[in-house]
Amino acid sequence: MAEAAAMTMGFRVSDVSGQNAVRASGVPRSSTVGELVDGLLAKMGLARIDSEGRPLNYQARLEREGRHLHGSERVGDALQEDDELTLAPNIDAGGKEGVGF
Amino acid sequence: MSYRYALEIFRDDGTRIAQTAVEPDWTAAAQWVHFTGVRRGALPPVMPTRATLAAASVAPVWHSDRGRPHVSAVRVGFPQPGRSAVERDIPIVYLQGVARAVAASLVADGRLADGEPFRYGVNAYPTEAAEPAAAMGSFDVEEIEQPLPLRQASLAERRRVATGEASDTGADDLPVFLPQAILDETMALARQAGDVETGGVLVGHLCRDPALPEIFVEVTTQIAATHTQAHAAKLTFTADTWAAVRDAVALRRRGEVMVGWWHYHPDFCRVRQCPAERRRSCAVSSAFFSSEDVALHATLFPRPHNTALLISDSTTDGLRASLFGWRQGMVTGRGFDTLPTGRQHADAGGA
Repeated sequence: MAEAAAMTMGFRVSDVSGQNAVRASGVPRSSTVGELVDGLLAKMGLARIDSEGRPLNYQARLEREGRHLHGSERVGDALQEDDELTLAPNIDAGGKEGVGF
Repeated sequence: MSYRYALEIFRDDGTRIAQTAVEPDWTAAAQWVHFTGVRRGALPPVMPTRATLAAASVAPVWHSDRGRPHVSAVRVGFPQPGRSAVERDIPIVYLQGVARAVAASLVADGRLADGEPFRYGVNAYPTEAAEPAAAMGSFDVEEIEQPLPLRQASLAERRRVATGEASDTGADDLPVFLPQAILDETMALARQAGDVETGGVLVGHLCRDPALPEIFVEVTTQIAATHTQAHAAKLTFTADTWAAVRDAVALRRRGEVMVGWWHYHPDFCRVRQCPAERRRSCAVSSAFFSSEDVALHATLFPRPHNTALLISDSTTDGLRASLFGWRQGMVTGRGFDTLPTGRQHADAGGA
């Protein structure tokens, strides 16, 4: 049991406005940040596609270091227990319908 | 009792083209109904978790003339032991986006012509309650129920000094107060931007007047978005944009929260170089919230108190401010009150 716990970690994760927050636990240290983000999007009910069905690109910001994590970083290398992460997407607003392109 | 839902799609002449099973997402409606209960003091002042929202009752309101299985609205509610449930009826226009998607598939199948007008109806049929979906992924997530960051303040006092009419405000709309200084500032930024979009985030307080009881929003400042990619008809907010805004809010140390966002639509008639004589009647010369705007709002500002300010430019009206927000779980145009410059309130203690 203790061995399994040592192979996993837990974090506090929120969206950009801070209105949606979760505690993630049992995250394998060997997983990548990209895998973690994918799992979090599903479990937090965050939109995965934009209004035209294209995938939304989210980045995880590690608040302790004030930087966005790279998707290929290993959770066990980049993160510490109880770190705070913020998930932020690149997302479009605009009046494309107004100009027809 | 649980229900499964289906959409009927009709041609404009009333001929039925298809009936398609749908699985509506009632989350936004449930969130809005929950907030109406919070505003009246009937529910605790928290941001409900997904589990709380999923526990809302959703039942069809049968069509008064056509009866079952035809639905005129759905009643979304939160039962309360020993007290009346918090309930609201959500009109079937809530499923308009689903209907459009179904119509698009009918166009793809050749059963509906591209651009052909259509109408839709909603049917409901009793069914067994669905089993909760199995947990996905290899780790666990526990939602943190967060209290609404409320400050006590007087709504009457705000209304006493507010200027302008809060037009387009529905009876159930949350009062929103925007300082004139922010309208001036966002319009100045819009003028600077010219023919490309620009935007930012609205920051402020969620206030509660316990005497009524009622909740309202007071915007205190705007933070212009940095690290964006701006085009004539598109503004991309990047992950760096949100990080910069969060840092700016933290640096202000005023206990403010992000209450919404704003952006600017240039004069699309000018961008398209429409002939001047056509601009007065052009549909895109009026303020509108695009499907991208709605998607961004739903993704990042899904709480019922979140609003979006749109500054739009047109040949006929010049720069104009419009507010959009949640009503019955849908994003729609709505009114706001303006606070004169220098009359922002610093009152408020803790919740």
